[in-house]
Amino acid sequence: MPNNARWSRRHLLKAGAIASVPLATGIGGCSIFSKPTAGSKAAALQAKIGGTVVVKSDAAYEAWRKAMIWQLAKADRKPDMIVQATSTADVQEAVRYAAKNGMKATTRCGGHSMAACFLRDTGMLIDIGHLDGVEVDKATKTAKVGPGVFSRGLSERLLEDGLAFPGAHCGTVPISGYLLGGGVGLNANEWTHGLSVFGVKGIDIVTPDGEMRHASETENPDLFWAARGGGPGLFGVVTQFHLQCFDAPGVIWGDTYVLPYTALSAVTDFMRDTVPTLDRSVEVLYAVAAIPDKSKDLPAEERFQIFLDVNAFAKDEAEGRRKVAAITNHPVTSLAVDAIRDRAGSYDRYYSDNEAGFPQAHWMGDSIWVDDPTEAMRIIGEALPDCPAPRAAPLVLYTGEQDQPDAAASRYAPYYIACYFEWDEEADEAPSRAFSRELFKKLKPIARGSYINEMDQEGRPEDVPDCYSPEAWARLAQLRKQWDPTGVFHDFYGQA
Amino acid sequence: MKKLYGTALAACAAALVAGMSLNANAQAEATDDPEQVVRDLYTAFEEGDMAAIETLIAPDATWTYYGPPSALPFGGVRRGPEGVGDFFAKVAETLDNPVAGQTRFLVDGDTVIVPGFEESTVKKTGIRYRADNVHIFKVRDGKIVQFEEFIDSGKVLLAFQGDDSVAVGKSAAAAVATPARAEGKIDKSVGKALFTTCVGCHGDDGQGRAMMYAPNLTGLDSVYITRQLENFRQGRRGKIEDAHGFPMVGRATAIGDAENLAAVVRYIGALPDAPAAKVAQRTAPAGLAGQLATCATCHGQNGEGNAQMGGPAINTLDSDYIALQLANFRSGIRGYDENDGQGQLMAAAAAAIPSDDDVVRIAEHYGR
Repeated sequence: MPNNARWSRRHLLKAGAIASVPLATGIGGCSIFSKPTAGSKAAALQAKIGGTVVVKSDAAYEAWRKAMIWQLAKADRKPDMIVQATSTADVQEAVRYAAKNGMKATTRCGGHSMAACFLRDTGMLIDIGHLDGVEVDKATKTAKVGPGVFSRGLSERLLEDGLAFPGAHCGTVPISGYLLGGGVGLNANEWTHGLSVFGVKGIDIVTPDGEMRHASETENPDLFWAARGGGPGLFGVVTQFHLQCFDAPGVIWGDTYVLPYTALSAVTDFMRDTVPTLDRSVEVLYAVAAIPDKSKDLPAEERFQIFLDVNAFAKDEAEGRRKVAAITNHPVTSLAVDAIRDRAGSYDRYYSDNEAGFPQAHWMGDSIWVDDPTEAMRIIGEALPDCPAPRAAPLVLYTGEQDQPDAAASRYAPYYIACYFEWDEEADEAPSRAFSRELFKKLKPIARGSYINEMDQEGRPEDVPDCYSPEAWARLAQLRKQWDPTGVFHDFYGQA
Repeated sequence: MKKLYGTALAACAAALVAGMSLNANAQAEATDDPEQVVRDLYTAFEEGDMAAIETLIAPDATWTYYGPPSALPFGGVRRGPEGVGDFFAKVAETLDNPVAGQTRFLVDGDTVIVPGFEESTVKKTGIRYRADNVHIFKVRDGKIVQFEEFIDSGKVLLAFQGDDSVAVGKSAAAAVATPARAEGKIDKSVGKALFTTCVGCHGDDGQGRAMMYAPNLTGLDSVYITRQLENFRQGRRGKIEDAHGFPMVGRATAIGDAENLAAVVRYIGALPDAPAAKVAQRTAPAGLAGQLATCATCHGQNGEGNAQMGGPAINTLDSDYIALQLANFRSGIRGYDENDGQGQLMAAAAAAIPSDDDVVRIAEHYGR
């Protein structure tokens, strides 16, 4: 590895960030565009709302449609109407309009769904990104948060009151779709049974009849059950989340190690054998990333590196050091060719570092849950050298053995494995997608399902049900029938 | 945001003045809800729906625009639908491309309070002014019985008197109102579509979010916004060490071609201005007179900005943001590129600030 020693901290940061990229994507729901031609029904909707209604015949429709997707790979699907809501009342009007006019609705918020599952060829897309309220009750450690609030902003706001919530690892992902799909969140192992959605104690939701309802364990409990994991298949628009918060860490203490690709099985063994013995507040993940500017003709061990990232949510430095001691003393870290050690981190630092790896580029991704990462990483490691995407980053995160509450979020295992693919040239898109599909078809038999928010819904829609247990999938269908008998909301992407 | 006073509106006003028969056959279902009545009125204005306007205004309603009628033709108190028609006729006679927007609807019993803004070009002087306003409506039995417009009519008066210190659109880009606005229609422009990605950090109305380390964008000269977006796109700003600037590189690049860039800048330029810090009322920090004089050269005496010098307004930025940027300029994180002339100038000026404490004091002097 002749070049490794020359790696500057800047390169390390950048590549490290690439590794720990977009763990959690947000999917809002839908957005709707209507065209207020004088006398048209869309004009009637426009007259009732403070937001914006755009329809296909509008001159700027294509710009609006594309703007709904955050990243640069713009799915070629065209809803009849996009409604950018500026209030919950707008959302209610939009849903009523959809119901009255037989339009099927979806919702988007930040548009981070890599599959752009909110974008459909018919119906109404409701954009709720403007719903951005945050109200914190320090005494009860709770917060009421609008769907459009970004994970980074939420963490900063909560810090003012000494609180924290397991937000997405990528700071510009709003909480909406991220939470509804389950939420693989920062320190969720310690705080919320491995998935952030279990920190949601209530929701305010616009149901298919246009009514605003509250749902919790005691009020509309079946709706609450569905919202905690139903994600893009939820039959309603959640306009506010009631969150249980936690005492903010005094420091996010950690290390990042750069390891040679030859250490892949050693790192995986470490992940399997050692990481589960650590305190739940120590979050460990590793990712494999290509070293910039290395020819594809080189052997894999010269093209790739591994980034092992450790973050302990601790009261102070002493506690942080104690929590990560088993890692810093572990032989695997002696294989490192470079490292950042003893990092006294913060949410600001975490999110800043992560930004570098999540440029607004062309993306796709897929994911699985596994009990043991060994076989999955063997398969991925074998396939990786032939990956056609210029940048591909498999990632393994330990989220802990958990005893989870009953909710739609029903697929889970202690190891989360995702692969992200990034490209620049259009010609690379189709081969990258095909590679991912083939790879995850191989992984499916050893997986315990996938995470809906980072599942390749476009590439393997037939496996979308596998993001839920068979019982939860059936119950979601039954509740949809009950709450949305006429189908005001679209079903999951690719489902009849 | 909705636009008021469009061309349709002028037509409607003219019709009212001419005493055209206003039949009610196009009327939407009547409502007694005060907020809905007011919203219906704005909608009727947008659509030039004369029948609706007549039914929404009580025969004995008072319609007041606070300002001297002798100098502002639409100023003073008017009565009934005919008075309202006269009001808009005067608007149409004296103003070009009037645009208005409502930011909120606050309801207190039968009273509806609507903060917003108005932007118009005075025909006789050619000066385009932009003023924040508040409309207060009183509604009874589904009809508006009282309307009051509180506006910075001093600013409007100066525009009528030819004082271009109140002119907006010091740059060519800002001078062009979005076509949608000019037509008095809902803004569905490309610029607004592109701004969708901006709201999460910069706020729904571009007024900034401290919790995202993102500054207010409103009230800034369009040339300045364009230059900064180009800086991000060209690698002249937002290097990876600039933790809170780096994310803008991707966003600015993703805006797309020059046409898209202009569209989003136009949209931002038309957003209601954020309130400015009252710098004039503050005591200047001791011992920094020389520094403040340097600031004032490009940013104006009270941080209001100086478009000719390329210095943006800084009195609408949070103190924390100003301090962070000054620190970035001082440490080479911003203003590092030789093709960013203004940035390099700023880096040199920031380097001359005696201490980090003084950076904070200067930031607090100018910031919100």
